[in-house]
Amino acid sequence: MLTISTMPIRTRTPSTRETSNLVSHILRLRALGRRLEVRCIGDSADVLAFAMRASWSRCLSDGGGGDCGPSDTLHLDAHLDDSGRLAYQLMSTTQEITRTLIAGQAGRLLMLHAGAVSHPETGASLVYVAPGGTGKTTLSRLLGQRFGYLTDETVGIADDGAIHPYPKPLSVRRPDAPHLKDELSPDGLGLLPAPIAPQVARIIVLDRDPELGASVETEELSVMDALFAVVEETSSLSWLDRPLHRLADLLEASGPVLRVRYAEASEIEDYLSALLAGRS
Amino acid sequence: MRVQRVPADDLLVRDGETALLVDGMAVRLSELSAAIYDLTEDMVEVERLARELEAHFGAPEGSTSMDATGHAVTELLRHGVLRSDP
Repeated sequence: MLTISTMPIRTRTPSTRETSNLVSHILRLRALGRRLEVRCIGDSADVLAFAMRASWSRCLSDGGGGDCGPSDTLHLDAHLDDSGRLAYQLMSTTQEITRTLIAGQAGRLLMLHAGAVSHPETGASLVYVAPGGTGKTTLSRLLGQRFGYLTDETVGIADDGAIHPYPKPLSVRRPDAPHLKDELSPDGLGLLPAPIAPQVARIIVLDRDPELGASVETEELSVMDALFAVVEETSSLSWLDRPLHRLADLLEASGPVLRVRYAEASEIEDYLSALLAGRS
Repeated sequence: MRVQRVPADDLLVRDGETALLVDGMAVRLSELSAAIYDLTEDMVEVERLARELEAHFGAPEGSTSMDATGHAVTELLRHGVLRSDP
């Protein structure tokens, strides 16, 4: 005999906070050739997740297939209790994501502390190597209006010269609070998307000198000079097989490497655009 | 004093110049330093090293082979390219 329970099933409407918890606080990102899940936690997790979805729009992944090497997913937690600290948490989470991705590609990719943009049709890419605070983000913001934005922070290069894009939010220092950077979505800034298969076409070393005025100085570097200019801006280099050879081979294949001395990014925008167009 | 080279992560020679990656640090070697690195696969006395370098490069100008070798060895020890006998 079929019996049907008559015991009432207790239901209730979730509170606003519970409802927001039903909306995923996990961001699935695909960047630098890896998958990464960021779990937003804390009293203001919903605020953090919402802001991160906007700023990391270019890296959001549906979890499907595509350009990714190792199949295992990286994980990290981002914690926000006080929504007044959102900007700080976004900045530190960006830094933590970068560190996690770099660690996840150690021994696989040649990783340069550099920005990069790519020709939207050919995929030929310009890589501009520079220490932090010397203009990579400003240049990416300018060049990204004409070329596909790949990254303003870390360029990951496979041994065939293919670039694994890392189109993170652009980290823009606040004039009134230099210790704090705003994480601006490349979509919000109108930057062009990365092409399907970006490849290294040219590498330059940026040397920003605010005293230089409007003049721009360029210098072709020998392979060894270029190697020592670039090696300081690599991550996890010694994890690679024959690391110096791999770096030198890349510099030769895309050479000659140029050192570009300039004061303001706007002074070299046209020059660099022409340089990239010449390699496309 | 005896010295021996530290195993490098990589050694690159391009256009007659030598670069080493040792313990994650890239070091550019002069011709003399590259020769020292080449001669120190096993522990070797610095005096013997100086004699071999003089035989290869000739006597240095304005210095002695021992002084020039000692100076280069000190630099290589400082950069972690060589280690000395305890």
